[in-house]
Amino acid sequence: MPEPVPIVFILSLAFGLHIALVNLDIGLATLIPIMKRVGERREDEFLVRRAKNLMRYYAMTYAVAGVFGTAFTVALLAFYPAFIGLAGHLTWVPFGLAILLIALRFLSVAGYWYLWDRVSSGIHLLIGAVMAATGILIPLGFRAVFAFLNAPFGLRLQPKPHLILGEALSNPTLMPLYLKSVFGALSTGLFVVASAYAWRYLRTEGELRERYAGLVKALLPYGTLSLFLMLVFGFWYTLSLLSVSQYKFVNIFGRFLGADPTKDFSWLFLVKMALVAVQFGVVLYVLDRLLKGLELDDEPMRWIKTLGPAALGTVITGELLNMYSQLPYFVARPDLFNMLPSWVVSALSVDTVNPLANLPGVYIITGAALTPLLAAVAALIYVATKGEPEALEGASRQREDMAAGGREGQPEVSGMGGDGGSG
Amino acid sequence: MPGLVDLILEWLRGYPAGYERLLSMIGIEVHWAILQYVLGLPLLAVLAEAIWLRTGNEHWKRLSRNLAKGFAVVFAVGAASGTASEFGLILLWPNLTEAAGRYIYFPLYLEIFAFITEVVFIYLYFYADGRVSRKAHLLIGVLALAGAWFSGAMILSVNSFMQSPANVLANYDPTTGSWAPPEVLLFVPTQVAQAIDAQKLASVGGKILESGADYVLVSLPAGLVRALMGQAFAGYTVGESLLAAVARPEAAQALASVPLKSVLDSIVANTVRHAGVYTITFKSGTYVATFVHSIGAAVTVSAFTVMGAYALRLLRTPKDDPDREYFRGAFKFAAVVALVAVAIQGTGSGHAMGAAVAEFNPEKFAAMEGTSEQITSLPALIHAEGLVHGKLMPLLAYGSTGAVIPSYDLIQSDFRPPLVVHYLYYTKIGLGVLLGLVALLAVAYLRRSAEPPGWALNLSAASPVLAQVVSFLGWAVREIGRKPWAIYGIMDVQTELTVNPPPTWQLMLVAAYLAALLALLFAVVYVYLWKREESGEVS
Repeated sequence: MPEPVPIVFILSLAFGLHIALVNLDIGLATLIPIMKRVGERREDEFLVRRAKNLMRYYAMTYAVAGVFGTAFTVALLAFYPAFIGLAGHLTWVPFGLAILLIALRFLSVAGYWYLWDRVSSGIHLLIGAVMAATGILIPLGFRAVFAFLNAPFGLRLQPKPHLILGEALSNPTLMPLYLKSVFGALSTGLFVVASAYAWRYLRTEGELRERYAGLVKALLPYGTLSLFLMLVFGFWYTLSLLSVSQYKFVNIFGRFLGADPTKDFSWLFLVKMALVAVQFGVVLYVLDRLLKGLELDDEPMRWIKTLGPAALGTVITGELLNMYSQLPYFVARPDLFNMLPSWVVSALSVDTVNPLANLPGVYIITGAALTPLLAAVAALIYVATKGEPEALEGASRQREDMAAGGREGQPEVSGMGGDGGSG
Repeated sequence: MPGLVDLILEWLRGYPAGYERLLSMIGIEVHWAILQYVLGLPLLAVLAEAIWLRTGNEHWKRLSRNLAKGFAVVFAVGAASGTASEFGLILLWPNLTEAAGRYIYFPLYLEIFAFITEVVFIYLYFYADGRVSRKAHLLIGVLALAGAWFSGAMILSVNSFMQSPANVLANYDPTTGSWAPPEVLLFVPTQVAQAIDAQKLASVGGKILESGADYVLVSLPAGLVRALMGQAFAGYTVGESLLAAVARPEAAQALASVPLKSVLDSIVANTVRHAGVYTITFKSGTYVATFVHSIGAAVTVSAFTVMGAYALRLLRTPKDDPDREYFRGAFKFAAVVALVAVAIQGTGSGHAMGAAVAEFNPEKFAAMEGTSEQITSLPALIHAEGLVHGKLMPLLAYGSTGAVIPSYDLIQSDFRPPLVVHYLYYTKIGLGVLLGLVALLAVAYLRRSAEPPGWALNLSAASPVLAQVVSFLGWAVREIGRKPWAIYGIMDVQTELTVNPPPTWQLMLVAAYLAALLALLFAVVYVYLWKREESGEVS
């Protein structure tokens, strides 16, 4: 029986959105504290305000990433309860580590948001450093689980199913996968922000254009370096798959090497590489202009706008490639299955779908609910990114303060409670 | 007589997986402590904005905007803590998680959409302010609130199912005071039922009730179901299990090597199909009361928190500060909502919850009331046992002073919840009354003067902590009182536990870590409320 397409679609959608936002999240969490610090040291109010503005978007990114992460896990639980149950018995340490860091992270995110301008700059930076560090470290726990799914290092079934931690952590696919992911996330975050500022540049008049151009120029080298490192670690990851997870390797690269893949996903690899090529192409074009002594004007900025979407596309296709290339198995080592009990083999198969969940009604409800909600997500992104041009922001803020009855421009308004108020 | 410490230790050590339960309790409390604001603050924000639309008074808009600013990040933190809790449940209780995913996944699945609704409209509410019409913005707020409550409705249905599944019948008669173990109704597939020997089934307390096209409806004592479930998840085959004892000889032989879990799976799946794949959790007898009471708790905690926050502001602001009028109005608004919410909680929804527990979880009800010779119950301590247990509680729980509330000591020992819930429950009631008095006091002062005196403001400023404690105690009673069950009448704690329980020191370390983080989170919020931004911007 082929793997159930609607389920794979639902899981891919949730996972794809989650992973895109998580990558953005890691990049933003690293960038924001640095940006604010640099702004403070240079006494550059513009930079500090940009950092604060990014933090507003970051809160949304962080939340939506969490929502789709949970959606993915819940969908996986509904369709593959035996697999989740088995994973639960085995993965206390890697997932436990991730939980500890997730908890520290939400504290640091809340702290960084709520304590902005309420604690000293040094303490705020420290909280920001925790926010960035936890963002970078959380994937370690998750990647340990993904590495286990590449090749189940450390798995023992007697006297009961358990994991030898040292062996699991020595999985050759773990470190390259983790490092590749982290640098991919950094390049994504930096390129998306660079794209956003390029977009702002094109919508702004006056001297602020130069400020946005300066930001773009500052972000591009770091994004490019991260992208390059992602490719280096990606190559290492490929080699590690070749050594311990050939099923997966062949499904990705077999077609190029004359091997016979069970599931050919080389096309997805090519899509990913095309998106990487777009990013390098834009960067080289910009570099060429700068080396020629030309400024970053409208034309290169229009190209730079494509960097963010290309970077997001790269991480999404990369993750889906990693996920699909081991289908129809949850653990990409079918050669080991004859050593496993039948219930474990069954739990590790994508074809073993919970019959109570694999119902037409579930798919109808999913389609009916998801379509308007995804439209609403698009509306949210539109509204959130439809910021007013910088030149107008001052006036806008003043209006808001007036409306809010803040200190500046105190309006004469009657009380809402207290003496004879309406409260 | 055991003291309180003994009772806590009995809860921790007298039931399986004590430290795992403690860690889960802390992890979920961290989530719930935050989550209440996601459920409650949008209501307050929408109310404030609606009043603004009616009155045109900009202070209401300012309040609404400040509340939205508060819940925008609280939601993100709540989502992250939810993810952490979810993983915690999977790691510590994988068998329960697997069973939930297999049989009662639907509300969890629907929660995905609730969650997306929530996140989209909560952030639209935040970002679209001033970019859409006023009425459209209010509508977005209502949708954000609907998403949050819808999400709560889904997850609470799962929890309610675990407290009192629709197919498990409690066996307590309040007219006579007699108790027997709960009975579990199962739609056994006809093919499986043919393997069962009716006489043998009757000898273990089972009954065949009726037959249908594809099922035989069987009633089994909860003790037997619990044992079978334990054996199934421990990997027994039919031949090794208790099922063999009620099977016809030829069937027992044929099925001897078949995993018990497969057979039970076919029975439970068929039961779920007949009860309704999409509706089974909503049929739990405690569901409606649980939903109303939990949402009420969230609104109560949120209202007291806003009230406390503005009390702090009033305490910190000079008398001639122009913002003071706004703070007074916001304080008054929150105090009124807090009073209304706590009154509904204490009388309406609290009563419905108690009555539902009495009907569907009589064992827990007995523990809550402490009707045991093993302890001195609080009504007994004040020499009011006859009044409270003899008249008041029967009237409240069963609608008749002639009814009898269950005696804890008459319940079979392996069905008894921890007795510590009695003290937790009455502490909750006492603190809840105190909370109501704080709100009443604030509102009473506000009727007479512009703002309450300093001591009343200080009391109000402390009230969020009190509200959180009351809410926590409510959940503690519910969850501790669920023991010895993971799913009432079906699965016990030992069965739900991972086969690789972590060492105690790791569990304690993680528990301490989570508790410390929660304390730090509250410290952060306190600083946020206490200090103005250095730029002079007012929150």
